[in-house]
Amino acid sequence: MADLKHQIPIRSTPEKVYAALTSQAALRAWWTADAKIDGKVGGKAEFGFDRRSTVFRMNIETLQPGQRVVWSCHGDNPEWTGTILTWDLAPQDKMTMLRFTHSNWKAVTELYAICNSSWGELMYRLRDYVEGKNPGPHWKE
Amino acid sequence: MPDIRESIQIDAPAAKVSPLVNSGEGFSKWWAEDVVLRPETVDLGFFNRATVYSVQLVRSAPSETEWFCKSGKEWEGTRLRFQLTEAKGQTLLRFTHADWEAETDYFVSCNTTWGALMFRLKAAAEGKPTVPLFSKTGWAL
Repeated sequence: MADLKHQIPIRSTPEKVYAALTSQAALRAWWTADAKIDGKVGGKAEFGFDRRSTVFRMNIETLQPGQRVVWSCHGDNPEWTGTILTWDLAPQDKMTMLRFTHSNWKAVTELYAICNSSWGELMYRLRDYVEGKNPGPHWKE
Repeated sequence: MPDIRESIQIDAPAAKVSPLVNSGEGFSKWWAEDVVLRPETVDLGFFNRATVYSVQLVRSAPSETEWFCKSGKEWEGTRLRFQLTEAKGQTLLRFTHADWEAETDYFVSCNTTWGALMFRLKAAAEGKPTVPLFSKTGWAL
């Protein structure tokens, strides 16, 4: 099993970063314009990319306000099925340290490396969104 | 030894990507504004030179460029490898930051930053408006 790991300090509170990960309007403002998310554990989330040529489908497993969000992934791409996305938030030096893991990949593949790069870009967009810089979503349709 | 691996599809031929990864002038288009060219090495300055990475070009071929890192906390002794594979006018860039001593917090932070950098490099190669991720004093807006 292989894990993708990211981290970035954000000049804001854990509560504001948590909101950016759980509000549909926020997810549409930094990740993809085609985002749908339920607000409760057991609900679903869908992220469409490039006019739904790819859809990232999740179940919402954990919601701990200001601390942790966990989603399990069940497609579309077979390599994503069974992977787990964990967002951990902790205050650090008047900022929030976001630690993100996309875990349980079956193998280190080309898609794994491509997703690693996209996550890096997305962490910066998320940071800029929370810091009020209006980066816009990486995927616009 | 742990390696950082990135991969990105660029809508430009390898001949447009290569000059961006095999010279300090190229780095200044997408990575860092503060680039000093020295014989055989390039110095990249970050955060008012709080960090300086001195990198030496050890291999430069049309399909592969490698730099050896001569300075920098945790970077000294690591290698930056850019591999280009062109097909139908598009280039798959595979990047490896190899030979880290350990998978530290800084390794994870750098993994995130390399992801964002790949997208700046892609934009520069595709002729889209972009600036280096790092200005002389901090982050670019």
